[in-house]
Amino acid sequence: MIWYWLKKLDKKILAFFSQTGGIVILFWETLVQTMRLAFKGFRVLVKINEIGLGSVPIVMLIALFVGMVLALQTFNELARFGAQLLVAKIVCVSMLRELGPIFTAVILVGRIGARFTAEIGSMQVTEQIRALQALHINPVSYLVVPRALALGLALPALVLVADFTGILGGFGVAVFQQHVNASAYLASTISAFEIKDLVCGLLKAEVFALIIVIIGCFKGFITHGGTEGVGKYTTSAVVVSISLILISDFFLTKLIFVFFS
Amino acid sequence: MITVRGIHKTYENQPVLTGIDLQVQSGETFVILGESGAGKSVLLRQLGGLEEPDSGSILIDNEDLAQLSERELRRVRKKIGFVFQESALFDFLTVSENIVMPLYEHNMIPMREFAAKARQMMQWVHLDEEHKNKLPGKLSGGMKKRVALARTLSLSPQIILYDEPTAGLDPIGAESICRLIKRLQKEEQNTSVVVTHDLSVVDRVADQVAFLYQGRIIFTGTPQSLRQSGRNIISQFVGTRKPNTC
Repeated sequence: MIWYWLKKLDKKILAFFSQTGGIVILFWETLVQTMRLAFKGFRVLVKINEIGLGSVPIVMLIALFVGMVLALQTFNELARFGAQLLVAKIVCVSMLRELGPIFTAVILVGRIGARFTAEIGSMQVTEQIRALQALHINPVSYLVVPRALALGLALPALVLVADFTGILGGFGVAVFQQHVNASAYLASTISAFEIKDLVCGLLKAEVFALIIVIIGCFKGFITHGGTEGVGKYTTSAVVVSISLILISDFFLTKLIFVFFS
Repeated sequence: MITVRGIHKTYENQPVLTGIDLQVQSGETFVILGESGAGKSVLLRQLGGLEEPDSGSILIDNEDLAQLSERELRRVRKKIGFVFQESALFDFLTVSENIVMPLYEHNMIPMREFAAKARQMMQWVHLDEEHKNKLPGKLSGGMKKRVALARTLSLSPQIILYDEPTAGLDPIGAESICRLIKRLQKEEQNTSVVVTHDLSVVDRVADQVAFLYQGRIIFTGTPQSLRQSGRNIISQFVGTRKPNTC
């Protein structure tokens, strides 16, 4: 019995290190191929179109409601202390520092990361990845680099959209529902706005983009077991990506506090 | 010329190839025959450089792949083309895009010549031009095989490896693929290695044939001598499979 569990644990540990190693290798290979510029510019543009423009409506919708809920939740509490205008500051800082990047990244994990895994996974189980190799085309250069560049450009842009829309949502609730003075709310938002917060949020977005691309593509490359395997690895990619995004967010925030305080 | 010496390959403690030796002369069509699961496709992947053997060596034109640097290996591998069992066409590209995609990726011809090249390759494999803008999902199995062959040929390889080229095709489709393999040998003097379980392919295209059984080559010779080999397992295989129209 003990042997059985030890063997099982051994396999799990081995699988963990082999997957971690694979992720590191894929990250390195992506970096090398990007440096070699072994990609075609138009492919990046196509991907930016798919990832960026296609995601704008859903990012705006989610961010709008996040901002609205945040304003709604904080307003009643702060009103008890007569500090209703602090809602503007809270919404602004929260969206710029955390909620904008996090919610956008989570949306893109579901919309884009899962898609990367499914696309590459399907290619893997139908031997299209082998066909690339047989045609002497580097699969990382052909499949990962354009996706990495496109998401690296699109995610920060989407975060900007989310930041703006979220702040707008908060403004809407505060002004139209809670009857806060619009110009006072705007002035409070502007006074809370700091370029440092915006930049930190965008830096986080870059790290999240890398996580989404590397995990999404890696899970695609290791997919096996036919269509069932594609589903299994796609689910796994989403779970791992979201977990890593939230974990890395904590450490990034700590790092930002160290460097910017 | 391809020379294989003592190749072994194991997957998850399961030996698949257990000491393969064979030699394929330049310009000949060499068929590797065997039952499903005998290790034919695994052997082909080793020859194509898609996988590395656990031990043993593969020599292409007397150059040992295991001894070459990464750069030299790339040069040698460019001599080899691979046609996959399920065609492995890129399902997000149209027929003509599939055909010229390798040329584009390797910057081999100017972009303005792509359409003409795609048309030329489609004509070569007898594919009507009306199919050029179709996605692979809209093609029949035989058409997919021909597009896959055209894609492989676009890089002008000297050696072409075919993995079950007639699998899943009706007799007419199978015959058409066999004709293309033969024509390629005649007109371009390509060396071909074909793995199949279809005896009719042997009759139609093989100059030499090897029989793979449980990870070992148990016979090598001409198609005529295959039937007279006297080995039980081969007699059973040959006896139970009647040649079809191909």
